[in-house]
Amino acid sequence: MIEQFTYDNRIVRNFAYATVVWAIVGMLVGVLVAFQLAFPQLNLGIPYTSFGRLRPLHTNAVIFAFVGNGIFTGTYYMLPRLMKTPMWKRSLSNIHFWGWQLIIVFAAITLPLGLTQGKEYAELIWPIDIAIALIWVLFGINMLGTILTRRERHLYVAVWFLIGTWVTVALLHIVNSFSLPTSLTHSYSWYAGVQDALVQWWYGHNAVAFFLTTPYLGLMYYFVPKAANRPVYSYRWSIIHFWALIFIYIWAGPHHLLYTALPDWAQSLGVVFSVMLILPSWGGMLNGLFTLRGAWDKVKEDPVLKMFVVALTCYGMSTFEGPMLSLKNVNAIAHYTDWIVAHVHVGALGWNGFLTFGILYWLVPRLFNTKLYSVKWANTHFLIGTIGILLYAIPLYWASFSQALMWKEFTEAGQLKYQFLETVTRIIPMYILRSFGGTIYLVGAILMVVNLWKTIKQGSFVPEEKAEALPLHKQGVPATYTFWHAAIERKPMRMLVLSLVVVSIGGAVELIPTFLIEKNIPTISTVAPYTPLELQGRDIYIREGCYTCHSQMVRPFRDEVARYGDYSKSGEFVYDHPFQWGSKRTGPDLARLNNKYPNSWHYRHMYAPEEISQGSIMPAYPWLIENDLDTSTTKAKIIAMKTLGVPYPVGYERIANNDLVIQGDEIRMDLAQNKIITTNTKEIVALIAYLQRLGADIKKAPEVETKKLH
Amino acid sequence: MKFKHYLTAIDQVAIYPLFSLLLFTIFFGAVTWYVFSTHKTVMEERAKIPIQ
Repeated sequence: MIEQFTYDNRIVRNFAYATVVWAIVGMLVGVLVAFQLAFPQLNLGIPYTSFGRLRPLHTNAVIFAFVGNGIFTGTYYMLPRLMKTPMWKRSLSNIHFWGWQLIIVFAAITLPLGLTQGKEYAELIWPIDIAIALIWVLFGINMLGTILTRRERHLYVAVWFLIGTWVTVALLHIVNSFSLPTSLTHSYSWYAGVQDALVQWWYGHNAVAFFLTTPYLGLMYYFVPKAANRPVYSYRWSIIHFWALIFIYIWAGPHHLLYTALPDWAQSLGVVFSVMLILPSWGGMLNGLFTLRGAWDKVKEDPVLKMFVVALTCYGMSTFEGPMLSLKNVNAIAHYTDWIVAHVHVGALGWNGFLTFGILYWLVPRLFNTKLYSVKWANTHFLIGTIGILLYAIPLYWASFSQALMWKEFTEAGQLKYQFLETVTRIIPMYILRSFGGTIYLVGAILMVVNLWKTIKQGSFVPEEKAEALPLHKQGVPATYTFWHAAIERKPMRMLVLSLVVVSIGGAVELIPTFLIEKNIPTISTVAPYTPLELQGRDIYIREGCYTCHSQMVRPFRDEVARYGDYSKSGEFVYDHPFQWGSKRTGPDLARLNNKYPNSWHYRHMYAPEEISQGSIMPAYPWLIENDLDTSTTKAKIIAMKTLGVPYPVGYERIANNDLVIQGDEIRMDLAQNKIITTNTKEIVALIAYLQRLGADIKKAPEVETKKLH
Repeated sequence: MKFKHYLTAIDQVAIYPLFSLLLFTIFFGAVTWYVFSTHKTVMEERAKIPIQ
């Protein structure tokens, strides 16, 4: 009683088109921001194209638009074929497709407008966050429906990776996105300071793990055997790979916060698990590469396999580098430098990029029942893409080493040898080189677009693919299915629940202690809530994406204490919704900015940074001088902060704007003494108020927490 | 890299890493045991699913 059915290729084709379109968009923005770092004039002096707003656009476009659509292209192709059934509901597939594209379009509009939550890779405003959660759930329902109506008893390992991905991304996204809206486009993170940082990097690291890695490993386990036409090297390894990877990955987040004000035990936990991660990661990489054993003659000819080999090699490189970077002494040098940028790009360009390209070169000819238009072009793409990756990564490694060493160098007299700005101007040639690397990579991708376009033109689309299989209940149950794990493999819901349990344990052990044990975050008596003007200024700081280039976290190192001031304490950030520690120092740390420069310096510097600090690559912010501060939002913001536990006095929201004007007047008068005429409610005034507040409270603190400097 | 440094740092909350490590070891052991006790032909059959 064999049943006949068809696979829907339209949804696969649509997602493939979206993947290609967003790849080009995301890379174009990437190339632009890369050149902006070398030539700040490219910020164009308008808000919508300044680095701080475009950098989140680049990361979101590449992660959620390019790689996201890549995941869905692969999933909608392989899942029905592995399950021997069509996708459960076509309508859900279509809602998923259009919903996801709509989310991307909204992201592309809101981010340049400066609408952001100010948390890396989770910048999108709360309505979009809700839309993401809804669409993700629909995708999950469709996926599980397909799995439950399957005609293949065993769930192939690629499907496990999809299930693990789905459940974990849902968990991460929902927990990290908790926020309290103050308007349709603005909200404050539910968490503050250290807790916010911990949740954010638990999310941030696992966005890499469960959005950029596990779903792509699922694709790898399907498309590499498919393209090489031979089974995966070891199915046993793949089972161990899956469980070990999802179990360990979830713990590793705190390695983004080494030497910060995060409690020591959480840092150490992150390090131990990050080091352990290399085992499953390399197991997976070798499993993929060994699948091609005895097929190396094919690899030489076939651009698809070549792409896969480089993708797996880059996966191996970045998963070796990851654990290494999480060792405290390596991290002490690498953190805040371009090393991290190089590291993620080896992953993004090599692993995600090349795996996607390989899949597209394999898939598109099959969808259009033809051969690839030009294998030669594809080989050329492979070559220039590889050169692009190298030319991107190597200059940045160089830049990061030289800059970190310059930061840490003292003269014999015990003075810091280099001003911060000197260490920046020194590495600008490297920034130019890496921009060319990125451009070359983009040219390769454009070559692929043309090649795929010609392929599509010469073929004819196959909207439905016929298939047949015996229904599941007519198939006999093999006697070997007696082990406990085999029972999980047959039961997708059990697999889903167990995956959730496995990742939840890691998440819970990592997060709960910081939330429950008060002594983990010692309070500092002099740390007070922000004044209304400072709060508004802080929101401008977040809007302009200042955190993409400036940290607010002085680590307990001799050079950092000498350069910036006393190292940061966890108690300083208790009113920071969201935290703004940053992860990269393209500019200097700002945690101790209080009274370092006069108000007039900030005013002139924001207007034209290069005139104040020669050689500065900071964009100019002339609109801050012009724009009036929107004080109508103050009340809602104070109410939200009070709800989140910030101790403003009762009824303060009603008089907050009076205080705002008084403080604005003080700054206005101070500026007037320096021949700068402005009003008390310009955006620049609020921003200056905030910048002058940074590190002010800790100076008044009587008690001193001492840590050994490294 | 002085591993001892981490151990002393973890000391107060040793229960967390120990618990997690134990949990992982048990789970990892169980999966490994299952994987290697399953017959080779079964594994090979499953590995062939995508290329059927």
